[in-house]
Amino acid sequence: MKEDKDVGADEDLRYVSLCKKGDTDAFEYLVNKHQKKMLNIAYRMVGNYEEACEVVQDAFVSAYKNIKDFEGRSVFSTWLCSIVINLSKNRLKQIRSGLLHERFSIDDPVATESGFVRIEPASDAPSVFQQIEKKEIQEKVRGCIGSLDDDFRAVIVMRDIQGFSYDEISDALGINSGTVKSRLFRAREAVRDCLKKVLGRL
Amino acid sequence: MDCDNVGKKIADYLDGLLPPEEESLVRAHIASCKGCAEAYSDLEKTVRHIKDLDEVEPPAWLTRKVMTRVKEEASKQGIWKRFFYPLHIKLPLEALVTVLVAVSALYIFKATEHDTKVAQFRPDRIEEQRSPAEDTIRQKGPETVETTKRSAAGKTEYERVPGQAVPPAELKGEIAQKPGQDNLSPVIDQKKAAEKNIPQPPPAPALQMGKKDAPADVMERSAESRSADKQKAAGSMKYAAPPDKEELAQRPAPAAPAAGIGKAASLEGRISREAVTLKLYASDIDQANDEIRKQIAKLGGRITGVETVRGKTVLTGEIDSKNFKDFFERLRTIGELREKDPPQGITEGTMKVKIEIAKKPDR
Repeated sequence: MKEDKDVGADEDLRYVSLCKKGDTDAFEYLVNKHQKKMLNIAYRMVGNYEEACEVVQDAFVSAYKNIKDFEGRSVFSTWLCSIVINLSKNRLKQIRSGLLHERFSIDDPVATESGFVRIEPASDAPSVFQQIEKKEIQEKVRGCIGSLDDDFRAVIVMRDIQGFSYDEISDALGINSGTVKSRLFRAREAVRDCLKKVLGRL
Repeated sequence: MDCDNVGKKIADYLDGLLPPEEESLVRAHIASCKGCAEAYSDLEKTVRHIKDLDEVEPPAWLTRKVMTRVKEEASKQGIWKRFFYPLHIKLPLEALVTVLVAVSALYIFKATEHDTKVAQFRPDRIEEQRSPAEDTIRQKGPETVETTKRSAAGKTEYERVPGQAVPPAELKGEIAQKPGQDNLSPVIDQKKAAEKNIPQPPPAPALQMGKKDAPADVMERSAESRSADKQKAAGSMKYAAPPDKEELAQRPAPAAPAAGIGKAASLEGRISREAVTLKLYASDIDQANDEIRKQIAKLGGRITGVETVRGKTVLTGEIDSKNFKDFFERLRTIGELREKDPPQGITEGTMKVKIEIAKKPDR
């Protein structure tokens, strides 16, 4: 797995060097390869799919503009991730200052992103029931993660959702690995407490 | 290992980051401690919940949208690059263009400079291209034709410049003047001048009088004034009386390389000879000035200019050459004339006079 990652990173570097020469096709390859991961990070950070899509687009364009600054000291995906996290934080600030979106509160009913789950008529089939239950739990988990401070959420998204190593997180967020560890610990505790509250159990 | 220690390491234990021996110690503690086991279980379930979150799929249009924007950006960068990036190419290119511009400017300057010189000395070249009118003039005065030829022969180096258009009537005057220099046909020229109502030139002797001062004067004149002088020369010098042979000999021999300055000087020399210069010493300059004005008016002449230079008053005026002798005699009564005899030679037309009135030196 580690080897695969290295191979992937080397490949990324090759494409990055092509991009630096103005090869947009090479960049398209990188977009295709990383867009899903970046979208999920953005989505977990901003909590809204459309906003996340916007963030990811901006992030890729920004990456292309600044690709000359990427010197290959870190992994490309980590560098990209740092752009996505930063743009997500900026987007959240804009949303909050715009007063159009109310901040998620754990006491609020959890908004579903695709409302059909609740509207859909109940079925007798246990699998459907389980499915609904799983969706409900996921919405609550999402809500709990969303209630975290941006810096804590960033760590939990990178570590527990995307599986970045402590070093990579440290690299991407520009904080030392001790801080990564302590933030991760506190973030998990906060989510745990939140989930206990909204689910009544874990 | 106690509960506090386990609590600190529980996250690393969950992430599998503990060294094997520590990991086994923590595992052993959790197995035996209900509280720690519960804490670990909660944490593990929390992380599992988080990891269980479904991933979202990117929309199909995402790559396309991103790439559209990226390509726009790339073309923008391309434009900037074209303008600013390849400085290593642009700098030598710009330097080369600058040098080319400088060289062409120099070339054009050199080329037009030559034309300018040629234009300045156009009057000397007219023998080459006579207009029909000139020929008519020459036919009227056979002597004139002859002398012109001689003159042309003497100035071959200057005059053989091809492609010179011969202009204006004023040049004809120049032609006529050349023979005058050889002292062969001044009278004929003057007659022609009279026919054309052109101001009368000064008589030949006057030139000799002014001769000593004139060349120095001329050399001092600035280049800017030359063209103005030249026009004047073209208009009024046509009938200038011929200088004596000695002066002709003293004139700089025309040589091609020195053509510019040498020719200019000789041209200017002729200009200066147009006016008769008389020097008058008077005990009272102002009184003499008034008296001269009266006398010249009585004789049908007029004063055209007055200037005061270093204590001297210089009057310039015009007078009919017929009355010049009388005027000369009257001047003698006003003050002490440096010249003993009136200039001879010109008997027709209007002539210019220049009278320098200076304070009579105390003796």
